Amino acid sequence: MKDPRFSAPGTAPLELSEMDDEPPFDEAELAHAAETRRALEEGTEPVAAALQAAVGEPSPFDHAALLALALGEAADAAASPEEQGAAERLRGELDGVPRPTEGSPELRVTSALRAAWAPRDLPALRHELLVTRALSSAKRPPRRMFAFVAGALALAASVGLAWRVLPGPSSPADAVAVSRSTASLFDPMTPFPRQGGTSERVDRIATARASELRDNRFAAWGVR
Amino acid sequence: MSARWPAFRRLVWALLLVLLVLPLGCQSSPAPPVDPALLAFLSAARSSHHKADAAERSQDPKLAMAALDDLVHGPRPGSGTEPPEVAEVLADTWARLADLRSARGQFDAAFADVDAGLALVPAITYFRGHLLEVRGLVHERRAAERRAAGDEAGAAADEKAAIAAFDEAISLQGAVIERALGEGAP
Repeated sequence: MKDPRFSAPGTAPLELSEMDDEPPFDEAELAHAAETRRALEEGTEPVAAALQAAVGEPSPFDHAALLALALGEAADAAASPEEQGAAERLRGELDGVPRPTEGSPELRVTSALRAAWAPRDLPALRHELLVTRALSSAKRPPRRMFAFVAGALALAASVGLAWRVLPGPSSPADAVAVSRSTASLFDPMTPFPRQGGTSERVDRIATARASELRDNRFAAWGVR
Repeated sequence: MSARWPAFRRLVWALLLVLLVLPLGCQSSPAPPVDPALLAFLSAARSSHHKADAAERSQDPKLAMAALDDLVHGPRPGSGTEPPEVAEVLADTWARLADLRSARGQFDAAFADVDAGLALVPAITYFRGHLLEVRGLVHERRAAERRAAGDEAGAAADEKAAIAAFDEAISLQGAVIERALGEGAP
């Protein structure tokens, strides 16, 4: 005997003898199974839809939309209900006087484009408010105050330059290897040989300065 | 007061300007840091000298001299004044060129090489001492050639010049050692 409850579409029902140790299904399970079957047939079951999208062919609707997009016919395609709803919302928002930082992302982009291309007149009250604020904050300082501030800035700059130029105590992290004689790289008790040895000396100089350049870079990056 | 105010203001501005400029003249510009340009030159110098080594091993002194000539006449860091490392490496290169050229009988060119190197390293260092030694070596070689050619007077003059060059080198090397001992003293 076969039980039609346990048959997948297109497959033979299972024998009841194989299910003898299983309790009978209750109404909720049966309803859930029926709902799942319906969703599978309609293609709205999310897991099955994701699997189909991953391994199967695109749905006929998606296929047509992709073809229209590729052929440049997307503009002629009928708008979906979602697109029509979004357009209605955007139109409603644009009928008002939105601020650039408010509203949906589409509204902000549209407002910015409209403000750049054909800006509206500023409302009179807002204009007056802006002018009043600007005038109240633009009180000119007295000339003596300007001279005092300029002098203070000049003195600060002078002190800053002196701080940079004049020698002073510095931390090891601030020490940067500078260009200098390479004499210290060679034993002062052993003069150079009369002939030969130049390549070895240049090798030693290049190696030492390469190490110092790395140190300078680490110091510049603040990791020393 | 209104007549004196502009003059006073000019005086204040002049004073501030002096204060700004004064620190700039207090000390000469510091030495530049070790930078990629210096390393690029040193790398090129190393390659040139190793190429010259290989050429000498292959009995090709012309190729060796060409490699070193490219280095001493090539680009170098520093605008007008070479960094000390560059000057010393170039001086050593001029010394090697002088050695190679004098070994091939190009004595005038070798003396010019020595002079070019000495101009780069006026301080008391082994680089300068080495150039003075090479100058003595060039005189020795020319003395030998003149003697072989029967020019005894010329040979004697070169021997004398060689001794003078070696004396100067010895004196300078002694100064280097004395300075090192002085710096090492407590």
